[in-house]
Amino acid sequence: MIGAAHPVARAAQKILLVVGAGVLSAAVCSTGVRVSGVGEDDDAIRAAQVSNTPSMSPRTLPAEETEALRSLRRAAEAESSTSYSGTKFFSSWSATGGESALAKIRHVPGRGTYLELLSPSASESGDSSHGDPIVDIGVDLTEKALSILANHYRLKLAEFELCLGRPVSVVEATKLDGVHPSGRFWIDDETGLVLRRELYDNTGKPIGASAFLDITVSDPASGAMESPSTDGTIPGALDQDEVSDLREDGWRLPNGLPGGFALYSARAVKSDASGDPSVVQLAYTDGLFAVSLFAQRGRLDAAAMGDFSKTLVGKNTAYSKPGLYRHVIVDAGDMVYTLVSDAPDTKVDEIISSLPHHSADPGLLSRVARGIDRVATWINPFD
Amino acid sequence: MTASRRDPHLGALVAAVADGALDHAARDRALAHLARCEQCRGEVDEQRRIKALMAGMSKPAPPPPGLAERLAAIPETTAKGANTNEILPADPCQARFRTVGRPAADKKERAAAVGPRRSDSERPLDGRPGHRTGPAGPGRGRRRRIAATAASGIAVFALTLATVAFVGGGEDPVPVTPQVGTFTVEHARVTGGLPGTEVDVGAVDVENSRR
Repeated sequence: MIGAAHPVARAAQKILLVVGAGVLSAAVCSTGVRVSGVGEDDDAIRAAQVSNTPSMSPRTLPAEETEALRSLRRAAEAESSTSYSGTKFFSSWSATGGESALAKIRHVPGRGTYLELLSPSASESGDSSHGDPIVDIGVDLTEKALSILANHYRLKLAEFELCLGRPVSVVEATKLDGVHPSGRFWIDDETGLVLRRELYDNTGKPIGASAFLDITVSDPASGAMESPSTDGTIPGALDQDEVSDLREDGWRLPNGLPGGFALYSARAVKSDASGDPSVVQLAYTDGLFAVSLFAQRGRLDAAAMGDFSKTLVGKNTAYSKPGLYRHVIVDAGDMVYTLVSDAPDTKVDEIISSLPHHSADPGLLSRVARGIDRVATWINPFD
Repeated sequence: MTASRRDPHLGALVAAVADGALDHAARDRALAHLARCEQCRGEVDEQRRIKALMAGMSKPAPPPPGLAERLAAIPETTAKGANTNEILPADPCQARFRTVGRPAADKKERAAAVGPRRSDSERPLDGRPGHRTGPAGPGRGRRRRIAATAASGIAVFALTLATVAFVGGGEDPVPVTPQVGTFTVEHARVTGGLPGTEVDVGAVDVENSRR
């Protein structure tokens, strides 16, 4: 009968309409949440990108800077082709204290750097610690790093002097808008090796130094022959598409960091049983200083922080420990970042403040948004 | 006494006999047979009992007392022009509501019982309609249905929201303990080629942390 639907059918129609309206409203709400919630992080990351992306058009270098850059390039090449051994000291200074170490170093290109840490008591007792060889896998990054350096720093071939009785060239790197040098390198004229290196903060105060107390250089040719293991590729390297996929899966991986730090390397340090990354390393540099950000999904087990000191930086809780490298672990809600860097304290603090924070408890609307996404994936046969 | 071969049993005619569906002649012959045949008599009696039982099942139960009055008290909204009886409620305000089940009142009598219509001067000063009392009319019923629909809508919306939120929840972040020593080495490995960093520093840092 036309116009006289069954009461049950009418009720069903009403319920269907109401459910539809409810789902539609929830979808609208959730869309709003996503825009205002994740959007904040996106804005932060985008802002970082804008401020950090190195100028795509390379700076035209005057002749003096070109000569200084050539010296640095030679130093990078020497590290990957020259065998040497010697005694070296390392020092680092920060607001929380200083750290120094003395070690015997043996470097074989492609095989790694062997280190024997020395201390007064160890020297007296003959005891020493033998670490595993550490293989430098960043050899293919030199050119990229040097181009970033040249775009962010003014280079100067300062003077010629002697270091360990050997003639060296001293290269200074000063921020384009800076007054004091941020780094000085003493480069052996004969081998191209860096015999001494000093880093400074923006006031000119030293924050790190390393220098050989004695050095023995082996035949570069023999060193090259002992280089079978490194092919210049980075294990676990992630390309841009893979990083984008991780971001879509909820990983918050900044494309850049404040202070002119650009992302130049991303890799999966560890993977789970299914092959998905469980630890992602993002390496940033402004050409001189380097920052590694190790990202892990989950919440920080604060009970395991031991000798780290706890501070609150912005919305993030940070645990830091001084050392030759500064280590800062950031609890960003549902992500844990571990920052390892030799950058000055002010730069590190600025970076920590910029890291995106998401509450581990997403709240009702975010859960609704995620629920709609999940239901959509169940319904969508092409997903 | 039993039927002879010349006087066979009723057989299929038993039901017709019980129903009274035979014509006169056939009925007479059947009744004559029944007088002599105990078996057929029993079958016809059985057939009649079944029929009575079936008839009793199909008979509707008598309505409970007072049902008609209660039904009459239920307000109804009817289409314009429907043949519906009206009664005069006790409250004059209900005069415009129609009720089913009571005899129709003469329009003049009704008008007399209701009295004059409320004039504008008698309405509340704030312009709101006067407060209604007494049995519910069709307007109130409609509002109740609207309210009920809205309430059920809100309930369904809340239920949908809760379901979707439940589906979207349930992922507690796993506890993470960063392996700082490993990360230091990895940092040194990746950044060792940079001018400001060197792989050795990472090695020293790790050795220091081991001590």
